[in-house]
Amino acid sequence: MLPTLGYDNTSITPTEVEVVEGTDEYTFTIGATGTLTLHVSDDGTDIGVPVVGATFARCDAEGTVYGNPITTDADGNAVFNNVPFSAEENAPLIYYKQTASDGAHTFDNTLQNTTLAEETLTVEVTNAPATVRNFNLTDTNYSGLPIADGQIILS
Amino acid sequence: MHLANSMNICNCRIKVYEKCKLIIDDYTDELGNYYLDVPFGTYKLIVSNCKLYPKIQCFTLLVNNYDDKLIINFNNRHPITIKLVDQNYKGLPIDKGRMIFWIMDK
Repeated sequence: MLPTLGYDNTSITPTEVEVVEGTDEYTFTIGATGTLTLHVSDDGTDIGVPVVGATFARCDAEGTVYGNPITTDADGNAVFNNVPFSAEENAPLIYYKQTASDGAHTFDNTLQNTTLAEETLTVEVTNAPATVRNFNLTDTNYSGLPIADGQIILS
Repeated sequence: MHLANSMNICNCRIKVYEKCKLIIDDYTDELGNYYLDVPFGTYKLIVSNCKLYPKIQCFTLLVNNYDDKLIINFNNRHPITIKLVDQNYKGLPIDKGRMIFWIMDK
């Protein structure tokens, strides 16, 4: 097999197949060894307040999800292991998207991509604090009279 | 009469019939050739077991003093689909993958 940019060509499996009548599709798999870390903070810097519990998914160029989602830890880091990397031009693009934050922060759920020129890369992701919104529950018949101990569930 | 096949496949089975009687049941050599030594006339030729498409081919063979070679062509263009996907992200297609295939003799 010729070098597949960013992947470990020795990992391809199977290494041989028998083409038989009646079987017209054959699948091979190949692995990579790079590590992509997404660091999520409230300001998108490495010294910002980490956001814990943000989730991400690996995707293809169309946004289709593959593999298990990853979640930021106490340091705000979520890690995609086994991603391709290459210092050459036209290194493979790694697509991903954020699927959730921690409930107190906003996030961008659009498809993102990056490339790894080295085996490890950390990308800073901003999840800004969500705008505080006040909900007032008052009596219908006594304008402005607040309702004590009321509960509102938003779904 | 020299029989050859377009893929130089050895060990293809050659059966030659003269008026429905099997007169030769043999195999091509290591170069895919078979030399047919029969009198002038018309014969039926069946080529099989070549592990290629089509699996069996039939010919009407005219042996005369003009044509001394017959090339048997195989259609080796039966399409197959090759998929290369990521080992750790099930089903994730690999962009810009390249593969080379070698045919192994068995």
